[in-house]
Amino acid sequence: MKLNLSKIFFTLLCSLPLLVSPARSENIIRLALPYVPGELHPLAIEEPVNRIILANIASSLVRTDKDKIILDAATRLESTAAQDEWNITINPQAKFRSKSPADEYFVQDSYNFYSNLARELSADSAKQNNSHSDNPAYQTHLINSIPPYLLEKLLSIKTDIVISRSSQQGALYRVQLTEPSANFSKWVLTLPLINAKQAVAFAQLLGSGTNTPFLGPYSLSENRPEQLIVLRANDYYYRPTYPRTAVIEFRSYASATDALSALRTGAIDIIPFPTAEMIADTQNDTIISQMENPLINLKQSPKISNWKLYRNFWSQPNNEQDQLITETLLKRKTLQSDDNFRLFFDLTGCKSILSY
Amino acid sequence: MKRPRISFHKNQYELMNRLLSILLVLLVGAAAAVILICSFDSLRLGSALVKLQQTYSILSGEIVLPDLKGKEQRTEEFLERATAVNKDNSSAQAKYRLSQAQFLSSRGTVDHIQKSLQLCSALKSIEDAQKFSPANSNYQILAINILTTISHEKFSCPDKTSDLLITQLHQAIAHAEKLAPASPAALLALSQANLELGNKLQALQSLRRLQLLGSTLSEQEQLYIFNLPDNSEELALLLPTTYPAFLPWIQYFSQVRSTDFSRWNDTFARALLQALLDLEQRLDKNKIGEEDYIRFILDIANLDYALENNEARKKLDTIMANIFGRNNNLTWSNILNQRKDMVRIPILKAGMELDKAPEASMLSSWLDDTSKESIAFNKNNSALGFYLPENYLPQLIILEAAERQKNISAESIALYASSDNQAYYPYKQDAQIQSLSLADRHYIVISIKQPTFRYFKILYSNSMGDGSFRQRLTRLVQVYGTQIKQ
Repeated sequence: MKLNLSKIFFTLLCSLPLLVSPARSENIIRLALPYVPGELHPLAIEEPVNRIILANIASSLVRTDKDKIILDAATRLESTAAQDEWNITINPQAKFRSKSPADEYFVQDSYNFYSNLARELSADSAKQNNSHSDNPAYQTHLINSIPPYLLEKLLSIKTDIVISRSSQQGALYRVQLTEPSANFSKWVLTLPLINAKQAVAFAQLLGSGTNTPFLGPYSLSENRPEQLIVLRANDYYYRPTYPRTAVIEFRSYASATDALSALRTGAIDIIPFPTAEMIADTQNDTIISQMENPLINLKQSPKISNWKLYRNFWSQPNNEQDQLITETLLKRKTLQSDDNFRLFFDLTGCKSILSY
Repeated sequence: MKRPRISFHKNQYELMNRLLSILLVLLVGAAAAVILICSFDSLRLGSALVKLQQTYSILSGEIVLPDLKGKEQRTEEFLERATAVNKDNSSAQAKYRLSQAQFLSSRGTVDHIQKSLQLCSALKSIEDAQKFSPANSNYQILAINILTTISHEKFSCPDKTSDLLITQLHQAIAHAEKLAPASPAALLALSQANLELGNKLQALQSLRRLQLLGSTLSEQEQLYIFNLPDNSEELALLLPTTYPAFLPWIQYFSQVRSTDFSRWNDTFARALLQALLDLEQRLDKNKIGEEDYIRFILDIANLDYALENNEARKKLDTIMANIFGRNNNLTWSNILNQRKDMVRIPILKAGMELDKAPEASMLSSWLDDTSKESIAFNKNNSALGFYLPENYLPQLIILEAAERQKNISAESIALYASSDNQAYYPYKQDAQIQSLSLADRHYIVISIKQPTFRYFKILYSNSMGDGSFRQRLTRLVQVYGTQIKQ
């Protein structure tokens, strides 16, 4: 008996480091990009870098997989037969960083915010107003990446809150449209939910700072234009056990060669926009896999005419081998991914097995 | 020769085993303590969830009855006794007791038919009691509660249609208003009956009278009342305007109904200002002494809301500046005299646990000015930052610790500023940093003059920092100044 006791003690002693060490070490996923913008725009959905960063910091009520609606922050979505009235139930666990619930008022404020933004952007003078931007050329590029149909649709929104009290199933938000629309869920409900009050407080939308007041799995914790963007997981995200990775880094690499070397050595995990040469070099590679770029799925809906990259080449303009490809991505085989990554470029379910 | 050696080993082995056993017990004890500490938070969370569930059940329309003080646990015993007494005694009181027992019993019944039968029997019993004593207010209140429940459950009784029961409820309400207009139980029953009949205004008026009576309400009754207002007008009807009656309302709404709290901010501000006026009048009429008055004012000043609402805070600053002036606390009197003419600037805040390179590290994870997140400031190399919205000119930065925490010296504070949140510089302009105390709390008060920067960082650099300067962010850093009119 006494011998058993000492055995138990030694077993416990040996397992002590496991007991006292944190449950999850801080794991990181790193992505290599040809450019890292200092600015983001929630409506610039045709800009692919902007789009993949937003996919991880800004959740919406629903997402679309081709023609299929997939609920995200919403737990229920119904429309009347005439499709002029939409009832949306919001996940009661959906909370902003400030811990304010993403209730019907935040939803209404989000759409009012985007409607105002659409109104400003529709006025020609606003397009010229680059006074807040550190990089006017990139801001112009972002604004040109906002599809005109999105602005038109946003301007036609009229919302009325009918039910203002929360229920156990979450806040119910009722939207009444001026004209029936079967595609309402696709072109409006897929926009990121934003804490409009906080966004307005910064005067410039996201600017060179780190103010990304979205409802989402990650927050922007560092933003060094042309160098680095760091996202850090929010501990109040409404999907339990997600995100699986604590930090995501988007790093700018001067050349495609540097980026590919970093991928081979494990310094990065994903190259979302490889060059034609990179794709040729990594055919049947033992540590790097090629997969269909999730951007292809994002392109389907809402209908995007074309991805608008800020630069079409990594670093050598007019060199065909250096041209950026948006149909394929490269990732290390040690990176585990899931359907949400494949469909939406959502990294919340991804983790690098080398991080553990 | 071998035996002693074996014996020696055994002793050593036993000694080692004993030592290990003691260590194991200590280890298990320590682990149990850790689990206990961890589970304390879970328990608190559990308790909060229970409260939340209660709130939801009220929202979903469940009838809230007066506090039964544990009677439900003895329902069966109570019913058996009341039935037995009724066989030998047909007095009004015996019928009342039987009705009460039948009504209580129905509350625990899940089966709809059974529940309906129990409620109808309870109604029959109370009607029998009322025949003997029609002016008894207790009988009338029970009748109203039974009829409200029958109506809510959409039941009918063998000899009564639903319509007839509704008419009976109307008559019972009218009768109860005459019989017991000032009874807390009657007012609560009337409010619920009127709500059931769709007369919300009358329901709120009953509850307003109930609150004016100052009677002690159970937690469930209080939650029921907190959740009734659907707009600011309804809130204004129910919200008390006296100290301390309005305090739980502000605490509940700021925590549980936070969106409504910000939407109906003006109504809460009016109630708070009215309560301050009421306290002044009570002091003038010698209903309270100066000492109590100061204690009550400091208690109100401890509300986060009292600092977040400019109108209320300015009034409090004026009152407290006068109090401190009269008591020769000129430092605080001067600060509050300055602050009463300033607005609280709606800054955005960010905390950094470790800021080893304050000149190059960016602030991120922004929170609203009134965020309730608790953050410790005085850890070595920790920083607090804020973003200053355009059109505001800051003059006063106040860091406030929670009650009974250790003070920190002004020398361990360094101020940095930036125009782009990328490169920070030590703030060289005229800044005066003071370390002060007031009523068990410590403060760092920083006066600045016309800064041209938008981002600020307050860095704590002292290796002795233990994180005890901890507070909810809404109080931890407050910035006051002037708004520039455009």
